[in-house]
This record gives sequence, C-alpha cells and structure tokens, in this order.
Amino acid sequence: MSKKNATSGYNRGRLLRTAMTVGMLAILFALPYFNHNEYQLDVLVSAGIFAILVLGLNVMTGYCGLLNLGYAAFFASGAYTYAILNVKYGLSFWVSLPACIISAGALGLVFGSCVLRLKGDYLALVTLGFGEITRIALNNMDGLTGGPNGLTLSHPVIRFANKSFDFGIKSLPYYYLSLLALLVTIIIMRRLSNSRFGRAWIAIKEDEVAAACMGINTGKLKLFAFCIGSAIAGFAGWLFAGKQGFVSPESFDFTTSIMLVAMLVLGGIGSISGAIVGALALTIIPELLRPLQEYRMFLFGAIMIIMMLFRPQGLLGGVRIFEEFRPVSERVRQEEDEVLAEDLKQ
Amino acid sequence: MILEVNGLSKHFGGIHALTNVSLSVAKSEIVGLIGPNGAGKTTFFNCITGVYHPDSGKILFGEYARDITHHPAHKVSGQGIARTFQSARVFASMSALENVMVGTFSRTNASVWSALRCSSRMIEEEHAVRRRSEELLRFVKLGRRAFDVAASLPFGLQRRLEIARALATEPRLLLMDEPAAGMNTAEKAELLELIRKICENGISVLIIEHDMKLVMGLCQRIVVLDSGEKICEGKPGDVQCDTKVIEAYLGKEMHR
Ligand SMILES: Nc1ncnc2c1ncn2[C@@H]1O[C@H](COP(=O)(O)OP(=O)(O)O)[C@@H](O)[C@H]1O
Ligand SMILES: [Mg+2]
Repeated sequence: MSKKNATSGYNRGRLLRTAMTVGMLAILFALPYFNHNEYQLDVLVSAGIFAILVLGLNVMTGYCGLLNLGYAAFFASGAYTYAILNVKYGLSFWVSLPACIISAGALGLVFGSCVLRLKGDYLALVTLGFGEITRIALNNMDGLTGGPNGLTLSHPVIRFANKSFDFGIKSLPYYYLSLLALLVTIIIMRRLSNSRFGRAWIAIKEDEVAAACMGINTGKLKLFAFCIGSAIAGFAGWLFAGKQGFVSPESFDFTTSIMLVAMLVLGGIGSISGAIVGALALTIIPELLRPLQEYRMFLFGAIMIIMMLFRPQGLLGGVRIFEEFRPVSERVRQEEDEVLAEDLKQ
Repeated sequence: MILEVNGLSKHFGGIHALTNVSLSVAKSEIVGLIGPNGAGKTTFFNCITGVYHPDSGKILFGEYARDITHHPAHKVSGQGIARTFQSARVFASMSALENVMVGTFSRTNASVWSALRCSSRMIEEEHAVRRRSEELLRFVKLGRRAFDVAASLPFGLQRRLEIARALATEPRLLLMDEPAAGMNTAEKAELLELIRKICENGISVLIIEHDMKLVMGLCQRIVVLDSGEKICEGKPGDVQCDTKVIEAYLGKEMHR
C-alpha cells in the first residue's frame, strides 16, 4: 500500500516537471508570434545571452566557490575572437564557433593555472585586475582590435542549397538562436552538476580540506571549473558579437562583470534555474524602470539590498537540493524498519 | 604493518607540535592515540593525511611499505587512508547521500565527456555509486536520513555521516579524530559497535579519543602523546597504570 503511494508520488513529480518543461518551451518558442515588438524581443535576446554567461559564472562561483570579478574578460575573448577572425580572415559566424570557445577556455586555463592557488578575496581581487587589464588591452591594441572604435563585423548567414538567409539586424532570428544556445548550455550544466564532477565542485566549495581528504584533486578540479566557465563565456561572446555586428571594449567593462555576479547572487548561487531567473530579472527590470532615467539605479540598488536582507540565498537558492528530495527508496525504508523492530525486541 | 611512521616531527614557529613520533598499525588492528589537549594528536593525523607537510620523518603505508611522506591529501586518500575530523566537517549544503557519494570520487572514473554524453557506462557507474552509498548510510544507521541536508542533521549523526563518507573512499586504514566527542552513553555504545564492525571488514583503525572507557574497551594497543612526544605505548591495562601517563593527565604536583 505505502509502496504504491511512494512510487506514484515520485512518478507524478517527474511527470509534472516534464509537463512544465514542455509547456515553458512551447511558450518560449511561440512567443514571437504573439509579440512582434522588436524592442521587447531584443531585450529578451540580451537576457538570453546574459543567462548563458551567468550559467558559466555559476560553475566557478556557484559550484566551486571561486569568486570571479573579471568574468567579462572571458566574454570579451569569445566576442573578439569572432570579430578578428571575421574582419581579418573573413571567416563566417558558424565556422568561428569552435575557435571562440577554445580561445576563451584556453585563456581560463592559463589564467587559472597562474592564480588558482590564491583563495577567497585575494582571488577575487586578481580576477578584478585581470578584467580591467583585458579591457585596457583591448582599448590599446588598435591594430588588432580597433581600439576604442571597436570592430564592425558581419551578421550570421545561413546558406542552404543555393538560397541564403541573412540574420541581419532583426531580433527574431537571434531570439531563436539564443534560445537554442541557452538550451544547449542548460543541458550541459545539468549533466555536469549531476555528475561526479558537480559533486566534487560543491564539496570543494563547502570544505576544501575535507574534499581533498576524500580523494578529490582540488587543484585540478578548480582549474577544470575555471576552464569550463570561461569556455561558456566564450560561447556567449560569440553569440553577442554576431547579434551586435559590432564589438568594442565598452561592452566588457567592470560593470558587466559586477552585473553578472549580481544576477547570480539574486537568482541563487549554485542553482541553474536561479541563474536564469537572475539574468532575466536584472535585464528586464532596468528596462522597465527606464522612464525613471538616472534614478532607476537607486531603485535597482534598493531591490538588491532588500533581497540581501530577506532572502540572502537568492530567489531560487537551494533548488538543486530540492530536486534530490525524493522519497527515500522503499527498499531502504523496509530494511530499516526490520532492523528497528529487531532492536526493539531485544 | 599497514602504517609505519618513523620519527615524525612538525613545528609551527616556536611550537614543537610533534617531536620524533613513531607509531605503527598492523592489519585489522585498532590502535588508540591519546593525550591531553594540545598534545599534537590532530597534527599527527594532518601530517599523515597530507594536510600538513612534516619537517622530518617517514610515513610508510601498505603491504609494500610505500613512502607517502609528502604526498598531497588526495593521493593519500587514493592509497587507502581515510579520516574523519575533530569537528565533523560534512559538506553542509549537500544531502547525506550526496556527501557519501563524494567519497567515491577517486574510485570512479567516468570522464567529463561521458558525463556530457550521458553514456550508458557512466549511468551504470552512477547507479552503482548510489547503491553503494545507500548501503553505507544504512551501515551507519542513517538510511532514513539519506535525503536530509547534512547541515540539518544533529551533531551525533553528522559524525556518523562522516564515517560513512570516509568508508566510501574504500580505505584500508581509517583515522578517527575524537569520534565520540559530544555523544551520549547510548550513542557511544553504538559507535563502539560500529567501529568493531568496520574492523571486522578488514579495515585498520587509528582512533583519537578522550573517553577512556571507550578506548580501553576498543583498542588492542594504545599510544600516548604529551607535548608532541610519545611518552608511552602498550596494552590498555599497562598504559593506564604508567606513571608518566598519569602525570601527563593529572600533572606532576597532584600525583605526588
Ligand atoms: N595550523 C597550526 N598553526 C599553528 N599552530 C598549530 C596549528 N595546528 C596545531 N597547532 C599547535 O600544535 C599543538 C598541537 O595541536 P593539536 O594537534 O591540535 O592537539 P590535539 O589534537 O592533541 O589537541 C597545539 O599547541 C596547537 O596550538
Ligand atoms: Mg585534536
């Protein structure tokens, strides 16, 4: 009797989740049919790109506990890789993708292997410095990056048989492209976080010494988290450059890095859904507050302070654990009851 | 001998936490390590497990007496030495089950690529890890708490969770740092039973403990540390009567 209930309860939960996922996807894919507003779609595209970035940052900061205040540097690495390959070598958007991911990932690997022996605040400071240095370098390497004027590059084009479709400056194609990219990122994140690597990352964040004593090579796994996080930033940078058709150092400044951390903290550190909600909220709220002009930043700050006071774990913090809250397997329960009954007899 | 420590020394600035300490543990033996607070017991564990680097001395482990003196902590664990901590350092935000699953990390080998692809081998391994972890949780009588967040468990249960997590690394030697601290009499009796069972499975145990009743009842051999030096070693009954040991615990004046 109780066995049946437990199993069907579990299945119902699973069914509900699947139904919700499918429903949400249907709404997201159908949205442009109901809403033709160019500007609103454009905001959503930005939100999507930010969501990918926050998911990447979440690997370092959320899972592994490595605060990165210069994440925009890796974002820039992906964007500029595409820009330079396109402008100097005429490579297309699609062909550049692997190069963008690899260049950002490699940057993360090299930078990480230099600085990951630092901990906590020291690491945060060094990453902050790295972000600033990258922006200044982009500003000054005129020959390669176009300096403060940036680089203008071509939008994505799809060629099929002898027809071709230019993404151009309309938001609609980018909406679907970023939605697809976000889905891919979510799947990667889910699989990683549910794997032995995800568990090891969280263990390192919780207690590095205990993690090492449990057989986890903490140095290697931290570097791995750094590398994956940067590679995802490169992916987002590629998308961003293609969508904008233009890159300049301004888009990759300290404010961007801080905004990404704020999104992560608002949504809930270490949670995939939290990262997405945080990115959506902090992209859309400032847009809604636009009528307030400069004053909107005050309101924005107030929202953050209220959040920290009343829900410091973030909007969806702790959701990852929630997924694991399934009923204890019936087999375990039964065996324990038998043991308990025997103990009582004695 | 499964563990052989020769002349281990470690100092922090002017404090000599360990001076020339030698100790050995045989297969399936339970050895007690006792001594007053600040004697250097925890430092001894930290040196063996690679958390600290000893200044001098040798640590040999396993049938082939492999030298593991300056190995990093994760390699020591890989060799087969697991430990618990004096202040139950569980991974607070993870469920009890996940805590134990972390322990299996070095005994599993699914690659990143297989995790991304969700390959059938990786899923199989993950199921095996989960079954094994559930088994270990039941072994320490925490089966019902598998999905509780570790931080929400009472201190006594966190200690048992730590033991399960340590066992998940498939050790041949288990180092326990004051496992009974803060437990009541019933819990201590249960712990005693648990340690005996662990030993029956062929795992040697080196245990730091202040509760003399527990140590005397459990250990075949006892080593006493005082101010970083080994002052006595022997059978529980002999150690109890040793004048040096009584002095260390009660102070010279009182004894006289
Ligand atoms: N990381 C450290 N830095 C400085 N001193 C330490 C450190 N760890 C331990 N000590 C010192 O070493 C001595 C032994 O400590 P410990 O091994 O914790 O003793 P026990 O576990 O026997 O109570 C103490 O005097 C302690 O202050
Ligand atoms: Mg101690």
